Amino acid sequence: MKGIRPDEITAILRQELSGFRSEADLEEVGTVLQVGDGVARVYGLTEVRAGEMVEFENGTKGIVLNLEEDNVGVVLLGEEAGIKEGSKVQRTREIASILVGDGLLGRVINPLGEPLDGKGPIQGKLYRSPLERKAPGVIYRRPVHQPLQTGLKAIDSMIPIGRGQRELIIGDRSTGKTAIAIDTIINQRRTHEDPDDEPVYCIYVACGQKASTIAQVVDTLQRYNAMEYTVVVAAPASAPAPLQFLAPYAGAAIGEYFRDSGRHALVIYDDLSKQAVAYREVSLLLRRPPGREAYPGDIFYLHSRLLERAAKIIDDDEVAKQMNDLPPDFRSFVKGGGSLTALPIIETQAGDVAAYIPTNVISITDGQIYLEPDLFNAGIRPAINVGISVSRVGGNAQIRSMKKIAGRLKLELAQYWELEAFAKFGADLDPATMRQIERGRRNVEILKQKQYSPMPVEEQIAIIFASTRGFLDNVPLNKVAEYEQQYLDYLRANHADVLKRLKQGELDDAIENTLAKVAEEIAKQFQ
Amino acid sequence: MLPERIAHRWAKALYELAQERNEVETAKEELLQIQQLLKTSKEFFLFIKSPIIPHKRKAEIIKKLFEQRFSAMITLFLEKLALKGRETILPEIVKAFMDYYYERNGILVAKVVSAAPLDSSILEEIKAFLAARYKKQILLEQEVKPRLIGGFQIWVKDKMVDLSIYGRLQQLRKQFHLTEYKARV
Repeated sequence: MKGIRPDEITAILRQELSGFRSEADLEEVGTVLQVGDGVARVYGLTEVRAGEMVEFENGTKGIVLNLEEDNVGVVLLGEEAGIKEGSKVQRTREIASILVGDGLLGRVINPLGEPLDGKGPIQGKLYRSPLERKAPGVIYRRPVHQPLQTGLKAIDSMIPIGRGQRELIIGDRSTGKTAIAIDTIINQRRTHEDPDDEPVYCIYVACGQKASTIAQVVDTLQRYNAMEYTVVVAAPASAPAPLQFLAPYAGAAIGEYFRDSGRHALVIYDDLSKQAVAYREVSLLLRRPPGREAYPGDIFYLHSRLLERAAKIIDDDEVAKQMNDLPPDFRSFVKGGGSLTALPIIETQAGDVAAYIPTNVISITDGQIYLEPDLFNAGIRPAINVGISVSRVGGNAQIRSMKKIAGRLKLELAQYWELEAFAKFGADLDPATMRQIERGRRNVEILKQKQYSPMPVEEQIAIIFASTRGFLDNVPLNKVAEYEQQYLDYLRANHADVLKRLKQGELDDAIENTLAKVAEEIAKQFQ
Repeated sequence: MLPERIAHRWAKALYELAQERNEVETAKEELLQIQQLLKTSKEFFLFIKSPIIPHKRKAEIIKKLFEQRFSAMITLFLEKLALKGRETILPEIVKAFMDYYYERNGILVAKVVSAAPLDSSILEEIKAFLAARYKKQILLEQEVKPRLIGGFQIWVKDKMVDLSIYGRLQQLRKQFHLTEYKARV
């Protein structure tokens, strides 16, 4: 260790304290009447505003949630130890907010913006944004029209998601909900590498997850070089309930920074059922009256105001600058054309989608992706039930070539599910039916996809084309994956131009002929 | 319901009754004495707060204690309080009554907390300053808290100006906490 010279210490101390003001301010102070279960009732603080941050003597921060006749209800965002009856509480005059900026990319933070990854303070210019912000009004939005590619064949073809959409991922535990979200984040790497595309920044909000799971997600994202364009907002199960229910709002605030600066962002709320539980806990402790399933009356509003913040902003910069409820810090850089896509996740109990929270969120979002344990166990992964999954607006955002191909795939799959029941009896079926069933099996087979291997949209189109046109009909089922591999390798090596045109949305006879020729050629090797 | 809110209602009723009977000043004086008694006599405080002694018994004892010393109105009030089972919030009621009294009479209660007792000249100065600022009659309370190390704090309701060494040190600590130390050596 180097020697330390006293004058250096003095210089550093002086620099650190240069912002210290020595004159006294008028402070507003309240007194704790009662504290327990993460909630404090405070006397005084007559001028405090709802949602304001307050600070306790021991440095713990709190948020004012209840304003009553003669006291205020404060939820604690940290340690309860050291706070007792008669402790002083100070106003900060700041509504709960978070500092956002490009420096957050690649970082793991808590819902208050404090880094959790031990990489030191957040770098770069930061802008203050309130956690609770009103969603943009009608005139500042435009309908969804650009695709957000998840890289998953089953989703991009049949349940397409557009930039600015809110698509719910719903399913039982361990059916691969988070896996879909992570694959989608990994796939956004392409938007950053492709000079023709507009990059999508990602925010992963872990709310009420196990800390070990969060660490795993961060590790995965790092392994696939996805962390550099991703922010992880972590409120693990060990965090106080108020932090857990604020985490999605913090994620939305970060997403809005990208959205309002004319860029694209994708935010994943993993998961909102745990957020609802955290909010229920806080509400009950604040003695708000419980309703159905003991959730408070404003549980619907809790989710709707969060998900409404996902939006596609109008292209006109002048209009976008007038946007409602813009934080003052944002005024300098507001641009139109940005978007915030939300992928909320809901965990159901034993497939019960008619429970309170799932029905609420289903009705708020623009569609949902159902995941089923039966499919998962049958080896169909991602375990998406395409029959009941829908995307209400994404169709407008799908590229033309994919749209053409996907219609046929959907139809064939629907017919297959209907006939499949018969096939199980092993009954004698006429050849036409048999053919349909065989086709369906192959379609299902090509929709299977390994985890962490999102696929570019042009390759998805190529393989779906091959299957729906019947080129795989004579390929044994267990060879389909191998076929896919060879077929795509060949296309990449010899027909890069065709793939490129597919990506731009073109699909004419010339392209179809080339694809058909290759598909047929390769199928021969497997017969 | 919170004890503060109940206390407020009792205090208001008592104040209005006293006003009707033109006994506000005596009521105030006597309640101040009770406040003092609650502070100094631990036995009395425990007696008031005790959940074991039946309310009826408490009322009888209160009658015996205060009949000769206090006005009829206050004695009756305390008795009634005990019979209604609200005697445990007597300290809050006294406080609420005083707040109400000061508010009605345009008096602002301010408090000076200092590390050591202050000279009366300084107190007068602070009083004059507050009176000029709030345009109200000021009742200045004094409290000594050695924890402050030096200097003083002025409290007006829930507003406070901190001019103590303790507060300064706290602020300093926060400052260090905010600007994370960056190695430059």
